Amino acid sequence: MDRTKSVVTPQRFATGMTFDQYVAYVATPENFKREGSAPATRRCGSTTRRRRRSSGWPAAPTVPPKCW
Amino acid sequence: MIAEEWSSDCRRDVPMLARLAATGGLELRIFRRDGQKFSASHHPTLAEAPDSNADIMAEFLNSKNGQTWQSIPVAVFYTMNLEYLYHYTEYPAIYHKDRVVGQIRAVRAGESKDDARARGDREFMELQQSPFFRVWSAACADEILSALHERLLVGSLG
Repeated sequence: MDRTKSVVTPQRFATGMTFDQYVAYVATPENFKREGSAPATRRCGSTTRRRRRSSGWPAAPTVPPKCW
Repeated sequence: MIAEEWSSDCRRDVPMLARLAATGGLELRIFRRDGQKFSASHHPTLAEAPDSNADIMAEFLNSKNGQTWQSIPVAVFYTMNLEYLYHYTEYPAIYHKDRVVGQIRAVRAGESKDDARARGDREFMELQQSPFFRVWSAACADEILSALHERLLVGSLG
């Protein structure tokens, strides 16, 4: 693979989401309408993602599985 | 980074990668892999899925078991001028996922396929909430930092 040529131009890079935008996006109805890897695999996870980024991994699960 | 939230590997590593980027002063951008449809293609293209990022994914396919796979997350590191440095794919080397998860999901003696699926789902969820996911997330960061250091010191593997 020639890594000097890429579709990731500065303009394309700028269209990506920041982490906060990504976390917000995955909890939207728009995202839940998309197909996942298996039926009913799209779940909320925003709270856990934000906590893991800001304070590290929780020592024990503190959220129910439906919203890990 | 290419990610989808249904991926256990993304759920494990994306928050850590965001923290790594914030700590290291890196500008992070996350791209969905798929559009409306889930893609199982071994050679993804925008022609198949115009609303996806298949063209980016196609640059970073994971070769294993004689096939190419759209494994995620993919975390690609570039210079400020978007010169490629390194990319991390799916999980760290110490997480032998195919072996570990394969054992969890395997049908056991006396189990029906449905029973095995239900038990496998439960045990895999427990694994994701176990301390090992933190171990593997830390290993991901270690791999990336080591690779970037190596890249800085001796150049790219090509």
